[in-house]
Amino acid sequence: MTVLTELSAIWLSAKLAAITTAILLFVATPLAWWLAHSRHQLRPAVEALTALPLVMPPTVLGFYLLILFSPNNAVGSFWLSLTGSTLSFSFTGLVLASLVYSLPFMVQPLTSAFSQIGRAPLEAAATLGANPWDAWRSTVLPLARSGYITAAVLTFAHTVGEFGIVLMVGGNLAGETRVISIAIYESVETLNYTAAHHLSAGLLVFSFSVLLCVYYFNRQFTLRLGPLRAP
Amino acid sequence: MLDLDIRVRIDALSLHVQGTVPNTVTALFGPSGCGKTTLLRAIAGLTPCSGRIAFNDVVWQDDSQRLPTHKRRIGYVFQQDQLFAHLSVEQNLRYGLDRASVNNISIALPMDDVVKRFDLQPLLNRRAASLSGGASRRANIARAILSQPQLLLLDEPLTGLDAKRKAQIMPYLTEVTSGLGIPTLYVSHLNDEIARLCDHMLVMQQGKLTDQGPTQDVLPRLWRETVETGDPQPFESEAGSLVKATVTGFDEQYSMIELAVAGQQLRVLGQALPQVPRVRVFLAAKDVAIALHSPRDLSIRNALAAKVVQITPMTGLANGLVAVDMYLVTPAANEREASAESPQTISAHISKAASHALGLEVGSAVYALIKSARIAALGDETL
Repeated sequence: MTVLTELSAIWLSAKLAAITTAILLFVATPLAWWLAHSRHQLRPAVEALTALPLVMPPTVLGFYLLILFSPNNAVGSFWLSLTGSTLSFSFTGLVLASLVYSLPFMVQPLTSAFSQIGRAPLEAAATLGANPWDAWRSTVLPLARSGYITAAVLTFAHTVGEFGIVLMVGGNLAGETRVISIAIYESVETLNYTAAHHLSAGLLVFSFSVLLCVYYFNRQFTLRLGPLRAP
Repeated sequence: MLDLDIRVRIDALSLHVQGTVPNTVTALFGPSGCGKTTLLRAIAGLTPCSGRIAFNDVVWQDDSQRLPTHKRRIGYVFQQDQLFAHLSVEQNLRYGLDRASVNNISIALPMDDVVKRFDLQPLLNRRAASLSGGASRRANIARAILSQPQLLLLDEPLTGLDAKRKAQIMPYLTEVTSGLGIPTLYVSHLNDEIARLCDHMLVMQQGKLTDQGPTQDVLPRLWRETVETGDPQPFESEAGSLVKATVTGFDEQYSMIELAVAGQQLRVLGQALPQVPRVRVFLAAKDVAIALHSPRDLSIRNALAAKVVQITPMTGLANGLVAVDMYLVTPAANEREASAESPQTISAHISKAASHALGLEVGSAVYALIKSARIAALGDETL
């Protein structure tokens, strides 16, 4: 394994994690808001479904996603007719799979941030003449800032670190689906411990630095603003 | 004027309110849990309700439409402080003001003016979360006013503050209620506040309005009810009456403010001449005594000629006392001046024994001896 293939794996992991995090920020926000405030009878079921990737073996999720992405199935064949390529063993398939298995890491911190903030700021904003979107954007969004940072970092780091689902859905195609964790696995399989060390140590240092930054930043955040008020 | 005919059902509480809130300062009064806050929230559009709400001929809600909260021109001060913790005090104050400007609402109450009235200048750059309870409450009220409301809804703005803080905030509330001329609905369960701040009253019990009218009419009715049932709830402060008076002068030698009540003179202790023509005076029922003749050689200097209207035995802890309601008799010379107004009533709590000894009955001509009186509110000609 050359430095070039190592770099390619790193780039692929970063791209996958960034795209997944960006999409999930938009997908998870309304879902987390609904989970935090709805009294609908379906809420526990949706909550359980969202948390499922936390407890399932990644291989099980990956197995079902692989079947779903297969051109023999509705979703897979639709994608094939639309784009001319298959979802399985493609980068797009990896993104879709990542969206599923990283969903709880985005949803859960946001849900707890939203329920801590409550509806009171929205009501106060409405009485001050702010329409619902304006009220949400100008109160809940900034108040949930530390929740968003935590959620984004957890999602990013978890996407970088995932192995089982990536292997099942994406396989090991250089430049397309060979992300860091797959590259490490391959290096070990081929007894190339030097390459495995490079990537593993790099991932370790990266993860630690990111978490350190978050905790440090959040501490600053708390010091400057004081604790957020309970609703 | 706010016209209400609404029904709300939340959990155990069922609310049905039909009434009119005039464009003045109106108290919404009643025991805890009777639905005051729910009514306020329904008016603001925060709690869904059925029925009709119209303010100054603009329909906020009826069967076919429902104006969302942000389109109702209200200012709402919540029971708990709701300053936005992520903003500075100044940004909080500008929140509603900026949105009013964007919506082309003319700014009758500009930032500088309100900041000055509420003494918020030194706090503008502070984080909202760092304010003390009293300052935070002041900023909440100022923020609501700066959104240029046509109706102010205040939900127990003094709850949770100690006596010292209350006394500090009171002048600001007076500023709001009489100084700015914004129609206000003021939720409270303290009749002291109501007596001082509100011209009109709505009384609420178990989700329904049980009484409404001018404060000086409704408060005595409430006190009488308390006397009849012997149950001090929902009243948390002393019984008494509120009378309107005209300021006539100030006696510097003895530090007494001279007032005219129903054409009779009333002197109360004070440090200076009030700079307003009219005041409201609170007379505690236990500090009013009764004499059959104009008294002489007595430390009590205030004696108002009155006629007994009603004598009610009191029960419970006050067993052995009677409440004597009297209306003040206007001297013939001043009759024309005072005849435009309805007669003013005052109330005295005296022992049943004393009442018998004096032979008091309905219609008796008496003198109400006022041991102490305090000015409860200042006002202009309309008071």
